[in-house]
Amino acid sequence: MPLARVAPSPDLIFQSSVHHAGHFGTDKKPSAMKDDEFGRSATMVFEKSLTAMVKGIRAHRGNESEYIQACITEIQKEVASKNMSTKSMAVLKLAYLTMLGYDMAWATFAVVEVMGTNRFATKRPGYLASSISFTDQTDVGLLTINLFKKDFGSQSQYESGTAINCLSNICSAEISRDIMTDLLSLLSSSRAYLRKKTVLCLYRIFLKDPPALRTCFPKLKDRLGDEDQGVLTATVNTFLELARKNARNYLSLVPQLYHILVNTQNNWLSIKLLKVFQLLSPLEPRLPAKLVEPLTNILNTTKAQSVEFEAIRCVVRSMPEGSAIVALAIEKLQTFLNSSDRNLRFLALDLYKEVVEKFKEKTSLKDLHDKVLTSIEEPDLTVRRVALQLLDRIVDPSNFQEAVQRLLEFSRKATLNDEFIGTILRMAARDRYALVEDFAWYLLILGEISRNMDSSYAATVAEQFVDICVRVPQVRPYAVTLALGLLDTPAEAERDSISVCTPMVAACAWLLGEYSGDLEKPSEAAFLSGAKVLLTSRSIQALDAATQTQCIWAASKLYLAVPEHAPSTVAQLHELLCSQLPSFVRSTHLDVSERARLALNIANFYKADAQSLQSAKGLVAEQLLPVKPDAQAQVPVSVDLDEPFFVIEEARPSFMPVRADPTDPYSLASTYKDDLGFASEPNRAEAPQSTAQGVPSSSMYYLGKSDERAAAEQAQEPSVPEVKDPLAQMRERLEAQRNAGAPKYQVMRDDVTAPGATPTPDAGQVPSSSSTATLPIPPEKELTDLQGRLWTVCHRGEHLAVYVCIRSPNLRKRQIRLELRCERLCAPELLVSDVALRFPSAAHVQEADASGRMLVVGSLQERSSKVKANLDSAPFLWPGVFDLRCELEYLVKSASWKPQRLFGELPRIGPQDGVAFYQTASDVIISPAVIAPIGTPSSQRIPTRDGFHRG
Amino acid sequence: MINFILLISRQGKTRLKKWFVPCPERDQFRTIKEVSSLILNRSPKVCNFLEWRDYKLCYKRYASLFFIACIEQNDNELLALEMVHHFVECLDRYFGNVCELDLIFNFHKAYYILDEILISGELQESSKRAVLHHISEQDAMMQENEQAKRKG
Repeated sequence: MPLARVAPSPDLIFQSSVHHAGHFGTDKKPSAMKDDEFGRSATMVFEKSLTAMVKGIRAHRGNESEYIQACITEIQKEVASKNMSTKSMAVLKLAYLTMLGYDMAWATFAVVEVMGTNRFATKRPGYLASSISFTDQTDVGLLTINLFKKDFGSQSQYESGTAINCLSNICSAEISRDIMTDLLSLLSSSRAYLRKKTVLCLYRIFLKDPPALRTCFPKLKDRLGDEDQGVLTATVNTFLELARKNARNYLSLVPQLYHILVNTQNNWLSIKLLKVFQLLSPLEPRLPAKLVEPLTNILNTTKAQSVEFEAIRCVVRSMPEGSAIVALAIEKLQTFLNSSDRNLRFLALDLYKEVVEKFKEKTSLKDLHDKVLTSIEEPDLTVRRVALQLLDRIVDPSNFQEAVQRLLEFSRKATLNDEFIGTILRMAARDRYALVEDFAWYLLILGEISRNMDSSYAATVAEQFVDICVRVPQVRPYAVTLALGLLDTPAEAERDSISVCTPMVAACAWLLGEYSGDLEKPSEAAFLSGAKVLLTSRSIQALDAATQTQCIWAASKLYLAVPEHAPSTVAQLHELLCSQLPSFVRSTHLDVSERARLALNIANFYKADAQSLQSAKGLVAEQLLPVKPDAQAQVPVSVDLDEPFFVIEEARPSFMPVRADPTDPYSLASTYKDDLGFASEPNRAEAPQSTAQGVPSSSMYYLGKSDERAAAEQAQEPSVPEVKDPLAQMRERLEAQRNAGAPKYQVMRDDVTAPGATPTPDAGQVPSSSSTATLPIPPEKELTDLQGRLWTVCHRGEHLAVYVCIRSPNLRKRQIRLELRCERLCAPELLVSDVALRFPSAAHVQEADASGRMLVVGSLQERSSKVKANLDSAPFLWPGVFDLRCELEYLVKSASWKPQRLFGELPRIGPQDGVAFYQTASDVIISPAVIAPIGTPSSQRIPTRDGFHRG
Repeated sequence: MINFILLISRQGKTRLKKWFVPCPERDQFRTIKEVSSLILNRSPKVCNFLEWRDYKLCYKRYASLFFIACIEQNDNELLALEMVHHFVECLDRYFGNVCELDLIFNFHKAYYILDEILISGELQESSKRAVLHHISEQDAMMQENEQAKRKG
């Protein structure tokens, strides 16, 4: 570090800085030397001037930090110096280093010292350093109060000005309180320079010390009449910032501000005033009318674009719809939109978002639509985002298709195409596909999008694909064919891999399995190739477990549905399943293995026998009902399990809504099958023929490897039709469909909830059915109230019935209280007595005697009184259903009988025949479910175990 | 209101930073890093505004320097650009055809000029002549001080 150690003479600095300047291609004398007031006096006193240090840093490329460390060590010595010039220079150098990322918190005290020097030359760097490095948290801040007071009273306006500048940066509530009077006197200073700075500084102070606003307000308001334009602008500025916090307080200023707006020619001032009026006009209904004239004036005369733009914005935000000035403003906005300046175009687009929202502006929409579509293509991400947001708002069914096509085109070109895709999906899904008129076309678009393997919207695409098929029955035949085509796509390079994204594979597989009946007739080939692609594609086994499971099950569903739709291929499908599933059984994923084993067993059970398969139809005939996550809570409490939970209504209307759970594709299953004859519509193009068609005669044992064979065969046989991109085929088909007249789609836009459930407010309309009317369902809240009121039969035998009732659980004692009661059922001549209930040992029943719990001592009349049992709730501390198996013992006497002791088993407490215990995080919810009668006479038997004999 | 002004060279070096709202040093550096990477990566063909957190960044490139002003959502972007331009013109007049090197060696002068143009994030002087007049008066005061000291 030679330069660092030697104190450079002014000449040396001069030469070397010239060298540097030349190096950077400037030939002028560097102003570094123009007035190096420190450099000259410094040579004797301290080691380096600022210039020398900066130069040193530049000369030490590569090991700057080492050099800077050395400088800081020097500065530490200089800061301790008695010489104020030295100290001041050291502080200035530190301020420079702060900018490079070096801490100067250790030198705060020195900074205050330098600020307190008498000479402006040393004081100024101190103020600079403090406004760079101090915040309102700096602890030495309080030391500055007296310095500020002193400098505010200085002869020189610049000393006061520098102090005000610094104050605006480091002010805290404490400083503000001590300094207020001095500031107030500055506010009426004779120098405009100081008044202006003070007015602007005051806003910072109000932020730190809100009560100060009250004291200052009258004086600040006086400044609105200041004759100096600068002070006036500054005052309006301060009021603008204040009004942003709470505009209502400043309504009283409207007359003065209005007067200024009408009379000023100053652009800066106009913009600030327009901003204030934007804030005030919503609060004062008379204001917009008053503003029409000055705003029109500004719009028509101003030459400054910033003022014009602000005026437009003011009109858009404050004027009512339909007025002439709005039309004028929108017209002006159009010129901004067509401007060659990128910034103006961006601002205009951004403002158009507000226009469209507020005025529902329709007149210029067509033009706007084109403009927006061009803006989307801009390379500028900011513009593009705004344009996409705007497009989202202006699109309607008539231009939706065009917009989507354009977005898709851009997304192919763009590297970052997720925004485009996201916009397409968002627009389409809005209001349950309100914009989509042609669903077949939209499915095709989804298919195209899903070709992009790594889009972050892959899951959304798949979800929409399934959702649409569930909601629009008419589109299913097209969708299933498309799904098969997508799965069966031979990618260019690898013939064997699937070229759509993983979630889409799962979606296609599910559709294929679920709606196989919609496959085009004759559907033998489609069934075969569908099952084949689901099971034999090598890439399937590389996908995640959930997708593999979907594929396996979809193939099984095809097999189960085959007798109905393609009876001739039963044997082939069976062979395929038997040959392919074992490799899935060996999968490392448990789910996959389990599902494959199940499917294999089903296949082995029914064999290739169409007759027996017919009987298996029941396995998949019932379509899954979508169940809301909270459906369980809505199930009525006292239904009999023998009755069906859901009343199956025949012949539901086709617009019967279906609920979609976005997370679970299975939940999208629909209960609605009718498709209004869409399938029989004439003029439909040929379904895409899969490659499997070429090899139907080859042995099914070789299907696993048949792709190579198929490829070889194709090479040999020129007669095999050329494999086309299924998307292209589907597109042709769509065209054909359209030519034949666009199909009418009916969309199920509403969600279905569990029948009998209380509709939640957001669930949309629930169709009323007779079953809902008869079942009063308590909402979940009231469940606790129900506890203790509902007696449930837990045993009904030949002679007696036992009822149980669950009281609210005592969480503190961890107990659940049961109340029991028994009722005689037998003929009056029989005498039932000494009924006892014995709980299992795990239940820790309090108050139980050694052998069991007595319900009734002596003979049982009509009904026994209540008997309480406290169960330890420890076994029920986590959610679930638990068995509570009890034994019942009683004596039956009759005139003709010898007394005999009967004893039966109380039902288990379980979902079907007992009491279900559920627990949420903090509260045990016990929902008594229904108990089917168990104690049939055969289950009653004479006790043989010794323990049960009494007396 | 302007939250902060940054001058960043094309290489990503900070040439001037001025926060008008108190902000801890650490956050300042994090912000500088974030903002400069955002802006340096923008192509010259795009517009001069971008949204950043809850603010808007208005920037303009002058030779090798990016002048960045961070304003609030409801501020006028064009006005911010004009303010930046006003600052650049003042610098240019003061230094006489200003270049990056001037700002490196005289960073404090740049701050002094900025202090005459903006206070607490608001424009205080829109006249270039007035700004330069105030600056030269203060420079003169410093010179006088120096001379007085040398004599004494």
